[in-house]
Amino acid sequence: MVDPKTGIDFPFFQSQVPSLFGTPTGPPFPETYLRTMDFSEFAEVFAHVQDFMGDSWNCRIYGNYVLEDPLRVAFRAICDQGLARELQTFDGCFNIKKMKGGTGYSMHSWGLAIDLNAASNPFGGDPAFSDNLVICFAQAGFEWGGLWQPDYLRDGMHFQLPWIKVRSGPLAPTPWVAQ
Amino acid sequence: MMEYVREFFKKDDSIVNSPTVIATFITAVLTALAIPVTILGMFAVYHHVWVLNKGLDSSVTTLLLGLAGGGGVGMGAGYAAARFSRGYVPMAKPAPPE
Repeated sequence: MVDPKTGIDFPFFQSQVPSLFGTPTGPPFPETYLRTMDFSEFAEVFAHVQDFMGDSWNCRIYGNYVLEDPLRVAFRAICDQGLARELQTFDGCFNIKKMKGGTGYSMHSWGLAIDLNAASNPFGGDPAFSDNLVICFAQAGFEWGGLWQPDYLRDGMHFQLPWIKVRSGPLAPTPWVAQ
Repeated sequence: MMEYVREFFKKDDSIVNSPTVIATFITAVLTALAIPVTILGMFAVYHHVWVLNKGLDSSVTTLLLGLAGGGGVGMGAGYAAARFSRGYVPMAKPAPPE
């Protein structure tokens, strides 16, 4: 189903990202798709959350504007379920880099992924997020890196909008369209 | 290898139909085909030179070159199919100005 705001046919997959947004290092990409997203309506419940510098998180994320509505849905679900205390750190969104364990660009390069609670969810380690929190993200359309296989490629801190493949089960991402 | 493929399809009880997975399998099949085709082509060229040096009939060479050429065309078609399986994806709408 095509999301009227972004023109994207959700769900979309990692392999389609270069076609959707072009190359992340190209000059048109940042000014066309990257924006500062403001989530200050959650400032009170996320007051304890720190950024990757150890400072108090200002509830702003610089990344792909496509993330904004799904993230807002996920944050609202987290607050509604009383899971806000589980979020401890915001560890970044837009960052041009290669995939860990892969050859292509990471979804962070297009600003389509965020890392949360990196210290307690290390790459290749056991994820510490509760299922309920992951479900909040999945129902907002996010693929969770904690499900990736093999185990040494698990990325529990990582939530991204492009899917790897179609999944089933409670943690599977739900196709997302703006309401 | 087969065990890996079985595990891959079984994982998460999922329907594996994403463009990434389809393209990956097509690419894997093409790669498996490309190796013997390349070896065949190398033999064909070697044989062709040998035949020319001997001044002999080159019908076998023609056959081998034809097979190698056919393999190349097949690979090209397979590559196009792999790209096509991802479908046409229009670019996302630009973000509104800040």
